[in-house]
Amino acid sequence: MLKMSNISKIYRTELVETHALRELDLHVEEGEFVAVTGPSGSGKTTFLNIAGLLESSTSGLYELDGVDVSQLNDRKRSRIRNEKVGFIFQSFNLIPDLNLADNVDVPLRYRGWSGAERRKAVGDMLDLVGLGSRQNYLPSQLSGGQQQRVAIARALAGKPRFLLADEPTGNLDSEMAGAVMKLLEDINAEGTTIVMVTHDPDLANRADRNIHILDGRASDVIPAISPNVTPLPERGVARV
Amino acid sequence: MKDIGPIFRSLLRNKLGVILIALQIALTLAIVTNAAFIISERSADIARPSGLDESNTAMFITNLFDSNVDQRQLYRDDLEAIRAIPGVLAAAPTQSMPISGSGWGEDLYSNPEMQSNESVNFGKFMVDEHGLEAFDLELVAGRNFTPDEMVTRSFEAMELPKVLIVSQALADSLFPDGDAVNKTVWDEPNGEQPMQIIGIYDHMQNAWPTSENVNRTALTPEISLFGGQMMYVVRAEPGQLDQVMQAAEAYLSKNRSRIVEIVRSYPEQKSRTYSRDIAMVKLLSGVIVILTGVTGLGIIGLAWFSVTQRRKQIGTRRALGATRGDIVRYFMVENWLITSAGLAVGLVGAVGLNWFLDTQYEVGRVPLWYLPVGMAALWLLGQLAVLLPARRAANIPPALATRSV
Ligand SMILES: Nc1ncnc2c1ncn2[C@@H]1O[C@H](COP(=O)(O)OP(=O)(O)O)[C@@H](O)[C@H]1O
Ligand SMILES: [Mg+2]
Repeated sequence: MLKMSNISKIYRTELVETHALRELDLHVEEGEFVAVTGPSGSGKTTFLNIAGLLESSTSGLYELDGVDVSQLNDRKRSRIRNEKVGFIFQSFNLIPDLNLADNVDVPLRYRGWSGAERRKAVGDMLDLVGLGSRQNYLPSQLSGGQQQRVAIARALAGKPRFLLADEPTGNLDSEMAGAVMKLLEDINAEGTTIVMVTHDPDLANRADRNIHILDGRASDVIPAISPNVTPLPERGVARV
Repeated sequence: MKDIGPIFRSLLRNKLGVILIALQIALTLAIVTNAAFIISERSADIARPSGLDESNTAMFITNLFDSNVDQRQLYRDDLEAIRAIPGVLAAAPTQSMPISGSGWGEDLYSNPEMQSNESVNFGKFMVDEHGLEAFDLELVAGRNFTPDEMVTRSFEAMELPKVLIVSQALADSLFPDGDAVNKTVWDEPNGEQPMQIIGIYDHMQNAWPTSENVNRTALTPEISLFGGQMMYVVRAEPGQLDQVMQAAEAYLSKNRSRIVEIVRSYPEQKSRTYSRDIAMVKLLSGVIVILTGVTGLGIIGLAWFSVTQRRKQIGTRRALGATRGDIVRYFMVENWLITSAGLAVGLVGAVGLNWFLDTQYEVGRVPLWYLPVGMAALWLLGQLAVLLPARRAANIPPALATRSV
C-alpha cells in the first residue's frame, strides 16, 4: 500500500538546514493500522505529510498503491490526495464559516461528484460519526471531540483507501480521545488502511504495529504489545 | 459554478468588508456610467466637423489704427502677398471663423409674405471668391462667386450683396423641397433686400458651438470696412501650416500702421472654444481612472486580507484535494458574487444619479446600453483585481494544514 525507500527531507532556510527525515525506509500493508510514535521534532509530521502528498521528499522513492508518486506534478498530487488519501489533523481544521454538511462536502466537490451523490455521502458520514442530526451546525457550536468526528467524516466521505492522522486525539480529553480511537478502529475494521501519529502510548498499543521515529533518522519498527502482527485477512476476521 | 452555494453562505458570515466593497462597486458603477456618458456627449460636440480643413487652417486678425490708409486696397495687398507665400493653398478675407464664439447671425425669408417669426436664422461669413477654398467647402450645386459680385460695406458705401452661397443645411431649411439654387431669398421682411442663392456647399458650422442651428451658414461676397479690424482665413498645404503662419505674420507685421492681434491655428482656436468642455472631459476621465483604481485596489485589499485570514483554511482545502486552480476559482467566484451584489445596487444608483444630473443640469439621459457595458467592465475589473490575491492563495502549500496551529 505504502512503500518508502531511502526518503530524506531537508528543510533549507537561509540560516539552517534541517534534516527532518534521513534515509527512511518504511512499508505499510493494505488494511494495517499503524501507530507512529517518537519525540517532538523527530519528523513524524514530516513523514505523514510526505505520505499524504502534502509535501514532497528531497530524495528517495515513494510508492503509494503501486504508483511512484515522488515525481508527479501538483495537479496529479492534488487528485491523489483527493481520491486516495484522507487526512485528519490535530486541530481538526474544520472551515469555521461552513456548517457541518458543507465541511464534509468540501473534498467531494473537488472530486466532482453530483449533488445527489454528495448529499448522500455527507449524510451517511455524519450519521456514521453520530452527528447526522446536526448538519446545519457550525463547527464552533461543537465540542472538540465532536469536531474531530466531523473531520473524520470529512476525511472518509470520499471513500479513501488510506487514512492519515496527525495526533488526532492530541487536543482531546481522554474520554473523547477514546471515542475517536474507537471510531478509527471501526473504520480500519472496514478495510481502510490507517497511519496515525500519536503521543499516547495506550492508543499506540491498540494499533497493529508501532513505528518509532527518532531524530528523523532510521525508522525503528518495534512490534506492538498486542500480539497479532499477522497478514490482513486473519486480522480482519479477528477484529470483527 | 459548482461552488456558489458554500462560497455564498461563507460570505454571509463575513459581512462587513464585503458590504463595504460591494457599496464601493455600486458607487463606481453609478459614477462611472454617468461620467462616461457626459464625456462622450462633450467629446461628440468637440468632434463635430467644422467643415474646415482644420489642421491646415489658420486665422489672422489685425487692427488698423491709421485711418488714412486705404483699407480696401490694404485687403487686396495683404491677400496678394499671403497667397504668394509658399505653401499657401488659399486665403480669403472673413469677419468670423466657425465655432470661434464671435460672428454674425442674420435671418432670411424664403418669401416676401413671411413673418419675422418664420424667418430662418443662419451664420454669415463675408468672404471673396476664395472663401470656398479657404474654408475647404465643397460646392454641391450651383457656382462660386465672381470677382464683380464683390461689394464693400462701409459708412460711405453701404452696398449690399446680391448673391449668396448657402450650406446644405440652410438650403434644406429654406427650401425643404430641395432646388434652392437660383431661388431668391430676402434679408428683411416684406420683400426687402432680395438676394439670389447661386450655390450650395456641403457643410460648415456657424460661430457658436451651442447654437441649435450650428450647421446653417452662408457665404456672402462682401468686405466690411467698419473699424480697423481685418481678418483672414488661410489654408496651407498639408504640413506647411507652421511655416505659412510665420511667414504671414512676418508680412502682416511689416506694416507699421496696424498691429497683428491674433495669429492662431484653427486647432488652437477650437481647443480654446471648447476649453471648458475639454477640462470637464479631463476631470471626469480622471474621476473614472481614480475611482476604478481605488475600487480595484479595494478589491485587491479585501481579498488579500481574506487570504491572509484564511491561510489555514486554504492549506486544508489543498490538503483535501483542491488544485491551485480550484483555489483561484474560489476567490474568483467569491469576487463575482460580491461584484454582482454591488452592481445590483449600482444599477439603481446609476439611474438615480442620472435622473438627478438631468433634472439639475440637463445632461441628458444615459442610454440604457451604458449599464450593461459598465457592469461588464466592473465584473472584469473585479476578476482581474482578485487574480493577484487568488494566485497568492493558490501558492499556500497544503502542508500548512499540519504545520500551523
Ligand atoms: N517548514 C519547515 N521548515 C523548516 N524546518 C521544519 C519545517 N517543518 C518542520 N521542520 C523541522 O523538521 C523537524 C521535524 O519536524 P516535524 O516533522 O514537525 O516533527 P514532529 O511532528 O515529530 O514533531 C523539526 O526540527 C522541525 O523544526
Ligand atoms: Mg508533529
